[in-house]
Amino acid sequence: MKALITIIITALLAWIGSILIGWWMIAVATFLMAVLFKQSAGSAFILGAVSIGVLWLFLILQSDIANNNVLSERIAGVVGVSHFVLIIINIIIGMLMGGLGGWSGAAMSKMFDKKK
Amino acid sequence: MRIIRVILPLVLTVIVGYLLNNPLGSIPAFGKLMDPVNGFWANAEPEENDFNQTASFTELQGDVSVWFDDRLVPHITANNDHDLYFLQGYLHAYFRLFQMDLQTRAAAGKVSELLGEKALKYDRTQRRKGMIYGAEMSLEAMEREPKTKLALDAYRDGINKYISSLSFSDYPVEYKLMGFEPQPWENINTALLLMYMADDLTGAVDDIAYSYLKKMLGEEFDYLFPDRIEGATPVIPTGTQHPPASLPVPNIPDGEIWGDISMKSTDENEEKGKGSNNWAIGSSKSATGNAILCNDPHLSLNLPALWYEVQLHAPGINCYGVSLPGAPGIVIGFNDKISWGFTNNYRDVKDYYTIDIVDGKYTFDSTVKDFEVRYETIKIKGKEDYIDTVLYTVHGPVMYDNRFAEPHGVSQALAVKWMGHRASNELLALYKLNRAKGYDDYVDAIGYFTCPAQNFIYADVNKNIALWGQGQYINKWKDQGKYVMNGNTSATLWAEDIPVIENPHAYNPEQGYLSSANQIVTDTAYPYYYNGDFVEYRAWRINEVLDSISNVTVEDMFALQNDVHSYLAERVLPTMLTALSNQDQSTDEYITELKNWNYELSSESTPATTFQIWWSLFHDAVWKEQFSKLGLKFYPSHERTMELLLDTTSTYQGQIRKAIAASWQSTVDSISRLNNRAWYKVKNTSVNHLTKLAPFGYTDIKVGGWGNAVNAMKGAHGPSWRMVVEMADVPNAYGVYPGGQSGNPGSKYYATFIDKWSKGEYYKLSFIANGKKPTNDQIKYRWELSPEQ
Repeated sequence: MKALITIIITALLAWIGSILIGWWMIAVATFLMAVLFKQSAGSAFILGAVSIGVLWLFLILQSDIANNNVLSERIAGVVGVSHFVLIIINIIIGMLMGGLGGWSGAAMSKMFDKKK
Repeated sequence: MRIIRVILPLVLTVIVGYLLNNPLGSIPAFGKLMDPVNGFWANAEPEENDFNQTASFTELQGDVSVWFDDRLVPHITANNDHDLYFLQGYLHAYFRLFQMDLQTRAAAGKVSELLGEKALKYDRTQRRKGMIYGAEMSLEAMEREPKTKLALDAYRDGINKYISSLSFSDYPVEYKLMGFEPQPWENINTALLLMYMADDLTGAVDDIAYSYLKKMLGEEFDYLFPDRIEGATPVIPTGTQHPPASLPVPNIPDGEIWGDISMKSTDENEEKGKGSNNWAIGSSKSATGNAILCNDPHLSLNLPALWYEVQLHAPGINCYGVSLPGAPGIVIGFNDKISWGFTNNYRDVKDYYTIDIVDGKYTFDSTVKDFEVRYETIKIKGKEDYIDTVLYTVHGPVMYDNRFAEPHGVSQALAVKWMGHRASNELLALYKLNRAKGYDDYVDAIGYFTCPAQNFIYADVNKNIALWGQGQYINKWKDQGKYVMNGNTSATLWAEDIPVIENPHAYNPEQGYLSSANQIVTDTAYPYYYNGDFVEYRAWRINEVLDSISNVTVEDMFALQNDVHSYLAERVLPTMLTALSNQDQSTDEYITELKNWNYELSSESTPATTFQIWWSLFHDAVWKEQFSKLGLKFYPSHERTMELLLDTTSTYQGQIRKAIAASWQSTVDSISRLNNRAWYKVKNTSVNHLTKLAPFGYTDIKVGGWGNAVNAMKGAHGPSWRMVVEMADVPNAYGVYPGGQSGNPGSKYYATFIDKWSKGEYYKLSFIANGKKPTNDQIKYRWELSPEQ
């Protein structure tokens, strides 16, 4: 339950950050969450990755379905992969950044803990 | 150790984040690109996107309504010119920003800024031919005239209003893929786009190759490359009374007037077919008695499409047609009184001069003159700026010299004299045409159209038709500018302008129609000298059809614009087949097919493929030996080759007969290797995206035709807009172009019209007449804009 709430809050934070500032706010969001909730390195990476993965999957499906895959098919052609693989790669990129942000946050918060 | 455990993930995050946020060479910034909030997903326009908008633009002087019909064609209603052109600019940017920006940069020679050093040669070519110089000259003329100044300024402000509202997420997807940003619009950009058209339509001249060939072949050159093809049907019908010449035609000057040109190679002169068709049907031939105007300009087929359909409505103007994103007004179209269209005129208005450079100066009339120097700064992505020094002479810029060599081995410095450099105001011509009420207005309007010269077709609601071979021309002596001239004497300078009112034209001719298709402009009775890059096949066919038909309907006009009958094949194939009598049995199948063929280059036809390949290989085989001795691939035209083939007294008959047999063998080799012999598969008509990204374009489009048929559908070149207008009380108009109103590859309006276009079908154009409100089923979306909150 706690994990689910964390994921939802992280995703919302990342979404708002992306709208207001830029896509890399996804890493900042997972970083902040890991610091705030004193997550361990492993769970921070996984929670960060899953949060962003869920967010991006949701946003991508929403715009892809409304667009009837018109643009994603073309971009997949440019990248040289199938439509399905494009979306997988797309989400992995988001998850990677989200996970790295979380891991960094966990490491940072641990350092402050030890110093206290 | 602990510090590493803290630093490592942070450093890793920053590095990965940096890599995903910045493009690497031509690899885009994947994180930024694939972000579902701001990346390419933001360009995935919902199929049921709501385009309705109510907004206030403080720049407006009054209320403006924009009604979009179901094809997303905007009908703009404004209270004054300012608001009208402001909105046109806003709409062009809204739907077509990327192409306007890219084409402007390409025109100006600013591509290295985006692509790096590999585009430097291209950029230098643009600069050295005086693209920016010419645009500056024209801009001055356009801004001197209050009407066009107002239109340009308002148009620019509309574009910039839109651009300034954009954040990264709103950028057209091409910017995200290529990693650059839209630049604010300036009036010079419009001038540059017009230069781009002038260059496309008058920029490629054969003067240099002609000079060398004339030197090497002597009188044989005149025989193989005549100024005029026998039996040509000129733009202005034979026998038309030409206006008397007010200027005496000059004699060929004495002395050294030609440049001495040697070349090591040439580009292949491809089968020409860059051109267009237009015609007008007068009352006597029309089923309804109304004049009918037709136009299909052939240009490069690109996405986003070159044209943007629009209706402009304000006091003094109610005009519908296609506009050029990047320029205010309508280029080809109609209003409730008149309609007009273009084909390229192809009279030679660009000449080369050899320049003798001595110690940084050049010789002229036994003196030495200083160059005017123009420094062209070219920005290069990831490198220092490149500064090119371009020398200007009395003739014009030195295009080639020892710092920028002519690509085919010409050793002299060459300056270029080009009508495109004139300070001209073509925009004023369009401004006046859009508002013209009759023939006199039309003649007045096109008088401002200097370059690129066009064959202007005209039809009006009073059942008049007209055709002018319009542009600014020079009173030349025979062959002046056909070859490279000696630039160090005033004897070769361009003389006076021919008054535009003396340009060849026809008005309501007895034959009941007028037509042009890039053929020679006049009969031999026209008093002034000209040469040019003319083609004849389409004109022969169009005139043959129009001569024979009567009670013409718009449907007949659709059929003629889509006509794929090969005039060439009909003339030459029987002779070519006869010459083949003793071929081996294995090719019988192909020969029978050709014998039974109806000369239609239809999409599925297999004999069409056989003929086209055979003709192409034959043309090569006839001339290859003779011209490869000179190191050239520049051959006599297809029309001339056809004439020589059919002329049994020609001294080339032996050479031709041999080539027919030899090329048949290679034709059989070549077609037997084809998996699919359907003509459309072999010619591969494509509509490519400007970036050449294949998934953004369309290939293998199932259409017939070729450059020797009226429907000149070639590889990536063909009818860029087909329009048929019956000038009834309310114009009864039809049109289609290969693209869609939106430039966004993620929009369902991106390439909507390609299907109908390829099938030869048309949309009925919804022209909203003066004082009429559109019905609700005509209008899909509305913009209501006002100056205040």
